Order: sequence, then structure tokens, then C-alpha cells
Amino acid sequence: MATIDTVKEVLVENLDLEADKVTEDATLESLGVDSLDMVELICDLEEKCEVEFGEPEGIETIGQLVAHIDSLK
Amino acid sequence: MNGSSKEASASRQRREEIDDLLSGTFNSILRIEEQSLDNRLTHGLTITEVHTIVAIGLHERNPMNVVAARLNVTLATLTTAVNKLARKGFVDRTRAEDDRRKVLVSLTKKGRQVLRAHNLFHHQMIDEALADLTDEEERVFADALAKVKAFFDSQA
Repeated sequence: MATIDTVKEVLVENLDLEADKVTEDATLESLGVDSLDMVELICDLEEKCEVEFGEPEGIETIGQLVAHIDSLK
Repeated sequence: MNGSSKEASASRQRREEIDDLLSGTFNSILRIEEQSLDNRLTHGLTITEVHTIVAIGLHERNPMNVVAARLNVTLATLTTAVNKLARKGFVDRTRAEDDRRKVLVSLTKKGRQVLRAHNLFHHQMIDEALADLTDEEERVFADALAKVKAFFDSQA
């Protein structure tokens, strides 16, 4: 599964978001993802994508999140 | 009062203020840390349990004695804490492949959420606490505090 689809799947499941809104350009803020949501999202993505996420700074969009995960694979 | 006794008196007063500041800051941090646990990821945990989770490490599988040393507690104390955290689903225990007698402890996803939420709290707290300091004040503060901490560490 492509990383963007995994991110979509987790966000839809965790936050009840509409999959169509989770695009590469969407900011986490515009999707209403707060810092605790982000903690849950990271832990879920670590498990599903089998990566160790680290503590990167400056991730603001879904595209940046996907690029960071892909850089860890 | 002559010049040198005035200076000595001012110095004594300043040190009393610093003593109050250190104790007050320490107590405030403890209180704020306790309050920070009131969120959906860490609710119901004590600060000691959170610090046990931090000592286990995000993606590590450590022998119990390593974690006990990090926390400066006995193996018996850690065993009780880890049993409780395992029952609550924050911690996993496995046997080392090279030595089946050795128990390794690691975090579950739920435990990793707690550690990340706690790190987030610390980042936010320090950013907000230092927000009013200039770069120079922050540098001087860090240097001075490092010296003071070295003394306390040597006494602990």
C-alpha cells in the first residue's frame, strides 16, 4: 500500500475524516489534527509502515509527512 | 553599616532569593507535570509510571537491570512497577534469545504514545517557559544552571 493511502486510512479511522480531504497539500492544521492526535497518528504509522519515526520538526502537510515516512523505509 | 558588610548583606539576600526560586521552580514543575497527565493518552497514570515508561525507551528492548539503573531504583521496585504497567497494557516483557533467563522490557504502542505525549509536554513547557528570555539570557541561564546542577548531581 502506498504511504499516502496508509496515512489516509489511519486518519479516517482515528479522526473520522473524509478520505478525499486527506491530500498531499492539506495541512495537518486544516484537517484539525492537534498535537495529541499527531502522537497517536505517529505511533499508528510506525506500526503500519514498520518505521521508527524519530522526532522530526517542521512537518506541516500530509505530503511532508508521507515524504518523511518514505525517507525512513 | 560599612561598604563590605552592605555587600555581604545584599549577597545573603540574593542567595535566599535564589534558594526560594530553586525550590519554587522545582515544585511548580512537579505540579505542572502532574497536571499534564490529564489527557486521553496518559490519564490514570502516575508521574512515576510515566518516568518508568520514559526509562524503558521508545524503541528499545532492555534488560530490567538497565532500566532499574536508569531510574536509580532496585530491581524489586522496578519489577513491581513493570508488572503493573504490563497489566495496564503499556509494557511488554520478552525473554532474550541468547539467554532465556534474561527478561527484556519494551513499550507497546500504548506505551510509546505515553512517551511521545510526555516528550511533547516537555517541549511545549520549555518553549513557553523560556519564551521571554533573549538568546543571551538563555545562554547565560543554561551555563549557570549547568554548574549548579553539577553540584546537586554530585550530592545525590
